[in-house]
Amino acid sequence: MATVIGQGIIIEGEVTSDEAVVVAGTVRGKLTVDGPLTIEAGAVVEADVGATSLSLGGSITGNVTATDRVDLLAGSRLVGDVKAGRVTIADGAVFKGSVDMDV
Amino acid sequence: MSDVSRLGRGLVIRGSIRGEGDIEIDGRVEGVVDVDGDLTLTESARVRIDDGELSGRRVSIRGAVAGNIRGATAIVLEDGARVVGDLAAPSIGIRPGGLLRGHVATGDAESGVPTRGRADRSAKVAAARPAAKAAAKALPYVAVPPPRLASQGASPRLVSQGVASPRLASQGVASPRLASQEVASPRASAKVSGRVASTQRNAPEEDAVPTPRAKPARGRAEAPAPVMPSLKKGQKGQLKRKAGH
Repeated sequence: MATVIGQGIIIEGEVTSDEAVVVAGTVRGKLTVDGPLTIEAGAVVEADVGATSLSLGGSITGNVTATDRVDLLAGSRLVGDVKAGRVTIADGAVFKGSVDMDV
Repeated sequence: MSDVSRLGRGLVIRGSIRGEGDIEIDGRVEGVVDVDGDLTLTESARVRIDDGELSGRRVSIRGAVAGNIRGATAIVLEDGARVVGDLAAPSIGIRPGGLLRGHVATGDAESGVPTRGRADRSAKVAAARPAAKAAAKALPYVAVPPPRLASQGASPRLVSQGVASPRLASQGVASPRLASQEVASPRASAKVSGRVASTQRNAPEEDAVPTPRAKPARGRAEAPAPVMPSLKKGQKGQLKRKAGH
């Protein structure tokens, strides 16, 4: 029952979910997921993001807070602060912001 | 792209959803939905449109919607649909079990106004039959028109509209065949426009007789007169006011 936001979809506003979410489109505003969040390559998120875990392949402009872990994959782009217990930044990821792992 | 998006049951979106692609909505949406693809609302969908419309190509509804709906090709209310709001689409279907309270306008998607006049008769008759059947099937209770209309001995052409006619109500819903036969009158227009209200046992109180005054305001905004091209001049003026269903 995972939520999938497809590539052509643009959501502007507050998005809240208690299940896994996969974003392939555009989300602007606020994105809060009580579960794993996957942002695929090509997706654009201009929002503050909260999730248990985040796997980023696309682009986020906003602060990220994860209770578990954040993984920035190759080709991803993050402009904003990260607050998570575990962080990985793959070779090729673009990141501008601060990291706080003391959650 | 035309991959299917799914907005799962635990999802709540407050804001607008736009773009291209088909969407299946299982969760809650409050705001505006304006998509260039097919929309499917499942039973657990709860959509409230604040400012605008729920707009898609083919809109199929099994859940609850508060707000106006526009379909570029069709709107279908399935069993389990609960809609409070207006429907506008070239083709509208209300399956048994679908609940609707609002204004229904089939016909030209752009203008939203049902067209009168002599277009191709066979096409209109063919399209009118399923529309009248769907309307007849969906309404367990049909609002009774004001007394004046009934006393005129509602003309067969009036009954052929299939919506809110005294004859149809008295014979019960089990006469879709009758409706379709009468619809086959050559003057019947395929476009159905009117007010639809279906009821359910535990639904809130429903107007037994809709106030005649309230209707014409809506009908007027939609079209100069409801689709009754065949009436004589004398009758038209009176019926214009009454038949704003």
